[in-house]
Amino acid sequence: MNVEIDSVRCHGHGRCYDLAPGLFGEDDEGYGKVLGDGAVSPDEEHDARLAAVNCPEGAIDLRKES
Amino acid sequence: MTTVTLPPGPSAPRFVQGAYALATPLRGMRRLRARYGDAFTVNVPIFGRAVVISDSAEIKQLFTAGPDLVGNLEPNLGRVLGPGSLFALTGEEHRKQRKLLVPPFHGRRLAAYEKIIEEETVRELASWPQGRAFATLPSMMRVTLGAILRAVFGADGDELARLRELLPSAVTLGSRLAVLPIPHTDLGRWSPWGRFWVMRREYDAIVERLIDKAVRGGDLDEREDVLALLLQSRYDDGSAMSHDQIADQLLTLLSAGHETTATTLAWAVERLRRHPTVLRELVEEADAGGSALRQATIVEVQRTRPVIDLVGRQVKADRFQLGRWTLPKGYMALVGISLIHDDESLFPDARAFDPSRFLDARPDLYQWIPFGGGTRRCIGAAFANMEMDVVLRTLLRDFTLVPTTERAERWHSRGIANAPAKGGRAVVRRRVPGERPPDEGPRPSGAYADLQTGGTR
Repeated sequence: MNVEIDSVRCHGHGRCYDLAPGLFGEDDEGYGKVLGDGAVSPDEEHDARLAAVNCPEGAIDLRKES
Repeated sequence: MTTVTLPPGPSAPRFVQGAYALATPLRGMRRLRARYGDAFTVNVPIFGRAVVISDSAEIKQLFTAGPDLVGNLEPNLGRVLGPGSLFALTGEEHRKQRKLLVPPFHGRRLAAYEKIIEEETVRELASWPQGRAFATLPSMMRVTLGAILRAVFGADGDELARLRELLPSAVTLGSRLAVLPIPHTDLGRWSPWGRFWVMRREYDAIVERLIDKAVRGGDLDEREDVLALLLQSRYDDGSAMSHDQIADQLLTLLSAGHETTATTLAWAVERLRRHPTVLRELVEEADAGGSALRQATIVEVQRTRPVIDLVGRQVKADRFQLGRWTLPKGYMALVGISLIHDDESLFPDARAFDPSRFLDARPDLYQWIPFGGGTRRCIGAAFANMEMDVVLRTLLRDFTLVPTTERAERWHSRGIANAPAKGGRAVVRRRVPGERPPDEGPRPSGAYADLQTGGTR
């Protein structure tokens, strides 16, 4: 699984890096960013989903690796 | 068109239900849930008839519903804070203003406030008496007001000294007025609303002077405070925010940003003195430089003692299907924050104060909702969390909080926020006078052992 943040939709609500600090961080201004290359290990999948459903802007995309 | 379907509820007149809700915050809601189930219809002052929900799926649905379906409550705090307040703005205007206000309360700037808040805390705690009971809420209010004033206006000055005096009484009065109807006739300058508008005019005059100083200072683009940020912001057509709009927004951040946080800190003191084992572990963790249990404790204090009891939305579409219910246009949907916070299916043994439940797991933000939820969730949540962490860390480092077997403090409504009835009373002793704090030099281990209080291992 992979995560991605749509930076246009992101409004800096900060839920992603609060709920899944292993996958997301905040940039200098407080907007969300993906840590590393966005690859999600199997034991982080729960956190990734939690962050995605909690994003009020729907700005987090989860993608199954092809 | 779909038929309106509403949950059951009491039939007493609005005034009676309102008086009951105000006189017994929390308990009144719990009784209604016990009688009618997790959703019920009420008739209260200001909002009129409203549906109160507490089921997590329905709460999630309400918080994620788009602006075409639901908007902010009306009337809202805008009637006290002004039409430029984030509470009053809706739709695209709210979105833009909110995005603009994110950086001052997040990221790099958030970290910079830690030191300021520690300074404010140390300065305030220096006045604490040792060995006799006192209410901590007034102290917590001064710390959080000082912190938000510096975040909003940057440096200190004469105007800020005056705001430090003016704002507490304005917020106390405004907070009570926010839940009362605005009279149709002018009752004069000594009536509550009359007194409030006198304070508001003084506040506006101070902000006008601060704006004037900021513009003449010529260093706006180097400043990081919210006032400087708003002065430089431009609408799409290139126009600037009016000074009235700026004054409203600053007052919103000042009032929303201090009473709630201070009240939660007073509850933290109240809870910790009654849970000596947690308290002792927190002291040990702080001495060792850790923070995980302190973070979990803050989350648990907010779960068990949420200072705001209701958050809500108003239906904008002709019909809004909310889980089992169909609400008509204009109806309010209120979320019972304390009701979901003591839902046994989500938080087993929900009435127990047990920070360990959040040690390894972050709460879902549609179930743990002290800051509200969705796109209108408190913009200062991260700021408040950092602030509470720093104040508690400093308190535990410099003082021994003496446990008590007194009964829990009751809830007392201050209008908007629900505070501990005795103001979070504490008995403290200063830890090893004159000793330097741990980060400034080595300290012999076990130096505090004789000052440790309460509990057995």
